[in-house]
Amino acid sequence: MERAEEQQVLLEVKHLKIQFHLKNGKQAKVVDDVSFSIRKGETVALVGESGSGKSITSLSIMRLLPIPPGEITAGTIKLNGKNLLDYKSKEMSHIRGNEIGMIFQEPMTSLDPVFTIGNQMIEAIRRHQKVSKKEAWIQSLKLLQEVGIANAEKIIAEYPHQLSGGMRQRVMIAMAMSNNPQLLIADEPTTALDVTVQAQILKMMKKMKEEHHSAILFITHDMSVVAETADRVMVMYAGQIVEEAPVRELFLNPKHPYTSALLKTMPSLDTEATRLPTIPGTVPPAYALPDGCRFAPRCPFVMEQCQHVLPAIFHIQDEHKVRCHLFTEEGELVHGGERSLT
Amino acid sequence: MAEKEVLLEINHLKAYFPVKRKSMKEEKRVVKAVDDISIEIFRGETLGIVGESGSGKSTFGRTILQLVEPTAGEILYKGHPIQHLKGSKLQKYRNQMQMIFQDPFASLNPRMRIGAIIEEPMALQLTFTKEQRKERVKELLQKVGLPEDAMQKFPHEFSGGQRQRIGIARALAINPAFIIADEPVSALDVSVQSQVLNLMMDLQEEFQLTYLFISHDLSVVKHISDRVAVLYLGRVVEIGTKKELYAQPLHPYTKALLSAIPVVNFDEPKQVMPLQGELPSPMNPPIGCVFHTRCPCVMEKCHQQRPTLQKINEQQRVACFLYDK
Repeated sequence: MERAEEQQVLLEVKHLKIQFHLKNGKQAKVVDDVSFSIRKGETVALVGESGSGKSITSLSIMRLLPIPPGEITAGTIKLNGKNLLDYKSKEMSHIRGNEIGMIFQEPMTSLDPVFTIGNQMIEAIRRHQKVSKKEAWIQSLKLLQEVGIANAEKIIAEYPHQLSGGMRQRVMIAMAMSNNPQLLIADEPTTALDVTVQAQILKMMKKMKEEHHSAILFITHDMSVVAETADRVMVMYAGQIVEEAPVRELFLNPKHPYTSALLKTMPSLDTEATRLPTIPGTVPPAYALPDGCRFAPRCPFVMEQCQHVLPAIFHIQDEHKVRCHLFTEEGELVHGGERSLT
Repeated sequence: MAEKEVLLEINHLKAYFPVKRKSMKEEKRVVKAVDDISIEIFRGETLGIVGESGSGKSTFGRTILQLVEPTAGEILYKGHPIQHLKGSKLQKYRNQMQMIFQDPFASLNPRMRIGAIIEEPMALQLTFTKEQRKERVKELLQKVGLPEDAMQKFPHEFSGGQRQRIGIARALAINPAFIIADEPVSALDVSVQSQVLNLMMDLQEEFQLTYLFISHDLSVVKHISDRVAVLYLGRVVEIGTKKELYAQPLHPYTKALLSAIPVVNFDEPKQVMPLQGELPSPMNPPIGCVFHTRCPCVMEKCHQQRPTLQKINEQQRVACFLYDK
């Protein structure tokens, strides 16, 4: 069982560390010792507040990180067993858009305003496939229909500004899927959209994923979207993954104090409470992280050692991992942090 | 809350914007951003306004503040019509109202210190001396949970949530009775969102504020509002108390909106009522019921006639032919 699963691993990120060199000379540890893997055909959500490093993680997988000021100081990112960080930039451009597709939050800024939808899609297809313009055009048309654009023949000749936000996001997804990527990175794909459109897009993404057998890395700050889309969830806080579990397990049995607080603060339709529970304080800036556990200043269960020692990652159950001192007894050590338990 | 005092009465409010024509031959067209809205807002309540982008919810808020001139209709504040006020009289009315904006990054002047930002509305009002104003800024900062030394800092030194607190302090500076909050928490993270919502509710209690809370997020609106109005293409399609509206939504659009919200529930898969398509352009809204192009329960009648708000329950009114008697 274990072995079969291992074989299916598509993306494996190990001990990834990303630093930003700030203008004032400070170093910001934006991503600090992040490890995770994504299996083929799986949807994994990466959740966190702004500044938690989730987008930077995804950009580094695409090798789109601005270097400098950014720098990958340690770690590996393996796609099908090959380290992406070893590729030259030319080799990487074969991977980008071909093996890994990406959708961004703001579809207006990621489409070129001076080219028609058709032009942009044909370019994306012809970059990675040896097909004629005509064939690429037919493919684009088919993709646009697949993502639920009814009058695809008309839309294909239009410019991005002529489309609504939901339509643009559909076009982006069609474009990202055009070369059948094995991995689709969706960075807050529905955040800028209305709820009714969001529901349509999420449903359509699910359908596209199944048809194209892709895996999705879904980056979002919205816990309720996660519940509806993901198979597995990773919660990120201040540059580290603090908890990782299958979606149901995470929602029903959250372990890390941050995860449970995050779930409680969500205003939901079924709560009748007048006051929302809050997490006091704010996310620490990446250039001034606390010494021990990153969440310690805001944690209701903070202990003496949390102030000084960065907790290691503990294995609680099958796929449930948590980075918290509370589970030292219960869990089995997966790997220590830089300052592991003494 | 048995006898409610009407703070603001809005009758048949319309805000149309002309669309630029390419040539003189072209027909004159208008965007009907707010199209015949009549609403009463009671003292001390929070009225939530929900709708998708393009539904006219922000324009509605701005029209009340006279930031956008209404095309037609009247606005009565404590019984006095206000739409033709000018100069100092308009100023007096505006002093009763303040606004909290969506984007805490764009709504604070980056070159002003926080103290000056919060002080500015008071300085314009000319009723406080300089010392009194300074004193009040300190008091306000404390009220919104910021340290006193924030006065000397600039907006860029604060996080989104803290900036929104500054925006709230500024709105409170001149003791308004009525605050329009236009998507005040949409740009914030969930953990910060709840802090700001709680703060807004505490302040409401302390200063007996009346809120018009504009948002696209139905769960946030449910949390803070007493009554909720659902807008679609510049019209109110349903209005009711929070309880009525969320427990028993009547309009197909309200139902669809509620079912589109992702929920955390693994045991019973929710009943999805998928809505097809997107909001039609407000430049040429559908003839008949504005919602008929996307409505799952569309009838013959909906194509020709436009339904008006009908009273269904105590407070709940809905504009839909399904409930015609």
